[in-house]
Amino acid sequence: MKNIETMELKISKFLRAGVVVSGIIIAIGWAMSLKPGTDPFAPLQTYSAFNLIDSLQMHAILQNWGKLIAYFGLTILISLPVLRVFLSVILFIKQKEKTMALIGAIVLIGLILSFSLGIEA
Amino acid sequence: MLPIGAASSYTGLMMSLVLLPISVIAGFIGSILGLGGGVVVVPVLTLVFGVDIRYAVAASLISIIATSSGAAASFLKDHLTNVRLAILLEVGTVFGAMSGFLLSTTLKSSSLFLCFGGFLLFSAVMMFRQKKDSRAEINHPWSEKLGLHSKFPEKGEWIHYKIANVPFGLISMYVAGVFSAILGIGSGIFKIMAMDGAMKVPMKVSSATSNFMIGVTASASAGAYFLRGDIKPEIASPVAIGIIVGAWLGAKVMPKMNAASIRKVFIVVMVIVSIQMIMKGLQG
Repeated sequence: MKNIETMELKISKFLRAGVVVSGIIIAIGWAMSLKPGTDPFAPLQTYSAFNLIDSLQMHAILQNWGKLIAYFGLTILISLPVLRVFLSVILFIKQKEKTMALIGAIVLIGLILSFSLGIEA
Repeated sequence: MLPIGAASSYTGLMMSLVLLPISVIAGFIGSILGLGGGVVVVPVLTLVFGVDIRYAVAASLISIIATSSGAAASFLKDHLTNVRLAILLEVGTVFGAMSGFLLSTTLKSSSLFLCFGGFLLFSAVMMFRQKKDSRAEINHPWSEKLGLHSKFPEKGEWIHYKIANVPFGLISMYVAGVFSAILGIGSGIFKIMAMDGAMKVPMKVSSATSNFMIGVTASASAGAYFLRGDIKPEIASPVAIGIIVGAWLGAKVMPKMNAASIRKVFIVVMVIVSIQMIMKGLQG
């Protein structure tokens, strides 16, 4: 059990580094897409459904590299907790803790199912 | 507070830049008071910047992932986080977040404002609460089976604790997950209440374990909002950067600050903001 805590600490340090890296990528993308002459909030005052894939395609066509980089950074940030659960499951399997590994796997499946709801909706 | 409906081009750019320091402050306050950034981010984006509440909720979830993942290491180092308990309870929060995401598609903006206002008011009341630890005498059978009971250091010695009422905790976490996805909050307040109130987990362990969990909870619905296209880099980027910097600053100065007086001021602010959110909800 002590061993798990040490390993979890390693995972957490890795995640903290992940937060910093994603933050830097997001900052670069954001800075690149700041332009005078645009009001970034005006289109966001009313909600309109426009999914991620379509947004990415639109920004790729318009060559909005800043936006694409920011999306990349956001993807890393959102994936960090999923990665943490995945690594915890591996850790429990290595420690031969079957029940805890199974519980972790259920959380992981829940996360993947939850993500997929965004595609269906 | 004027929404920036008819902003000129340069004001637009200015507003975008202003969001960065505001998010730094949100991250700073959040880390000092142990609140998720969501409590600050959602009202600022909606009331000050006039952003649709659905975009505000989605951007706020990003800030919660950043705070939780950034702080987890220091709590673990202090041996306060109960990782096994966190992983079990995440089953509840993740499935709750899924339900919350589905539910949010059926809710109108005005209902979201009302819910958020109510949540803020509730949080403000809860912040008045005296924190008192009570200990479980008997370990719940599930806790026994999974080895959830643990120990934590306090004043130089290890204090052992048992865990009560695990099924109730799981159900509470489900509810916390629903609120997290609908309102863009970490739901830390509900998580701590369930852990320290019903499950008899010591307060310090509850806070650290809650912080550990909120990132996973938030990512469940953030992933869904992201794929649906609701997380817009225009707002999510300055918010994420600001929160990361603010939370880091907060952690640096926390030992030197008098959190009690900041807490009192912030409770007043929360009540005022909650009234504004409720008013906005009532206007439709």
